Amino acid sequence: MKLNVQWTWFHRLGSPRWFYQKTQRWLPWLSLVMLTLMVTGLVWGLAFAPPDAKQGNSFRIIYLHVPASIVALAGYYFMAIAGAIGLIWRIKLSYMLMRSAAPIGAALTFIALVTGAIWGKPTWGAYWVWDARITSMLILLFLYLGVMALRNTYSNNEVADKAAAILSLVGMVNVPIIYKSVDWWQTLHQSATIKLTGAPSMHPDMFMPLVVMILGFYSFYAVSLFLFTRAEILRRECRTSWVKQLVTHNLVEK
Amino acid sequence: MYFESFQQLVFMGGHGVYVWSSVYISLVVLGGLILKPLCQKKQMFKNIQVQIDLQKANDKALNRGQDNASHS
Amino acid sequence: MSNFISGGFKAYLYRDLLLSVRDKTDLVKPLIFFLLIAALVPLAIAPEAQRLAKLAPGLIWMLAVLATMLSIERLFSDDLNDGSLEQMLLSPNLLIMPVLGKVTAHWLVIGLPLTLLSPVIGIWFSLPSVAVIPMMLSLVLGTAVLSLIGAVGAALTLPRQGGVLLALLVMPLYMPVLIFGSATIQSAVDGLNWIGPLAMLAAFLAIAIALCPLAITAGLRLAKNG
Repeated sequence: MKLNVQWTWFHRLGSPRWFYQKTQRWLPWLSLVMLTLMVTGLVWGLAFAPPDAKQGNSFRIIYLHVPASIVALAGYYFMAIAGAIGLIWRIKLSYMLMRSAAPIGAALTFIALVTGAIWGKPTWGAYWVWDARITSMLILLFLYLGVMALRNTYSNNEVADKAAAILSLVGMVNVPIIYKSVDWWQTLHQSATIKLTGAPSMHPDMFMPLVVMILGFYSFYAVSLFLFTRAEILRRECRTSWVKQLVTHNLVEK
Repeated sequence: MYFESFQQLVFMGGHGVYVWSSVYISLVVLGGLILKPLCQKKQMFKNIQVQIDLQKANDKALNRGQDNASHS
Repeated sequence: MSNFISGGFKAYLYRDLLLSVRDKTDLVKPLIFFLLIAALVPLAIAPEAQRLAKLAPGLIWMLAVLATMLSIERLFSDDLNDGSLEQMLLSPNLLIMPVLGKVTAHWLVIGLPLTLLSPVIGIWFSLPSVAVIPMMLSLVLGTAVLSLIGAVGAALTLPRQGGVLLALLVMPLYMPVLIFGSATIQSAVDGLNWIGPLAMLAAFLAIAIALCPLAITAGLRLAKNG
């Protein structure tokens, strides 16, 4: 019997209305956190941190490029896992989160690619170098675009969600394979300056603002994700009474 | 501050173009990622309001029709 | 019991092969494309043997990818139109069996002839003869993976077909195959160990045979129910 306490709690967690109401309260302070982190990190990194010995001031682009790349990649896994949860437990909200994750991830990948290219010009003399990192990022962009494009193939929302989830999962399996393949094929890019274990090979004065920016980008991702998902909830639940009440209440307040 | 003057901050020893164009592009895209869903939400509110108004008008017309029918 | 598991594989393999043989133009088109573009490249670039030889490994593999992508799109569309897809979904056999049968048929009709034609391209591009066997081995394994991955894309784009979406979907997934496929040939040309990259292709094939049918069947069910 599915009517046990666990199921009802789980079910409520997946309710779009619950999400909409909760995020209404979370967004103000989350946005504040995001702005604080981003502004602090950016000012610190652009104006206060010392420049790189070899690359000079163009190295400051790292404070945009690296956080964007990290969150873009993490965002893909988030999208795929949200899709998997939607497939396994049939939770609509999970599908909505997955749908919202796609354009955000694609945009962040775009930022990573563009800032990477701009960084490449003064550093290596060329806007584009076919090395492991850049090429993997480009493939990631195509993976995201594919998930976004698949949306229009199916007229039924439910079916489109499932297809997008399947594609995301197939891509997720492939991301490490792609990365390792391209890495094996060409290694021009400098080895990762941030490792999960062990000390980073960057001076702490340069490293700290980077950490702040990474946290800032993660909080940005959350804010943007919530905003997109809220709009998606309105779109899909427009016929429910709670949404109608929300809209009329909103106008009454105005 | 690492730079001695505002001028130096902008110019960044020749690399200013690269750094600031990256900042500009990033901020534009990030800004878009916030503005787009907000616009979508506003649009949805408008659409739903229209829908509600239509529903109300429809109901009124229906009621009037029923009243007429019950009277005659 | 054994029929339940393996049933459908042989049947659909023979069926698709028969259909392909009957419609000979579909059979030959991708291969002609393969040869045509290969013939155009020297005209576009330069007829120098040295340059062509440098391009050969990557180019041959690019052609294989393109030929597969062009032909895989319609793998399921005819079945959707004439109701055979519904039959497949309704049959008591495991759905992955007909799917594997169809994909194998596709490989036999596209990938295998490609492999057999590749020495001709090798000659056109002055590929050193030491690289011919590695090239053919890489193509044999690689085109099978390409067919499997392509079928995933074909199944997911079944409701609305139009080449670009399929290409967009499968292109990122094709990249590792492309990398290791051309690396096999290049390693052979350079006199290095080419078994390594080839082994990666074999690994990809194993993974693809295991996972792709799941994605394909899921996509087919969605297409039918959507």
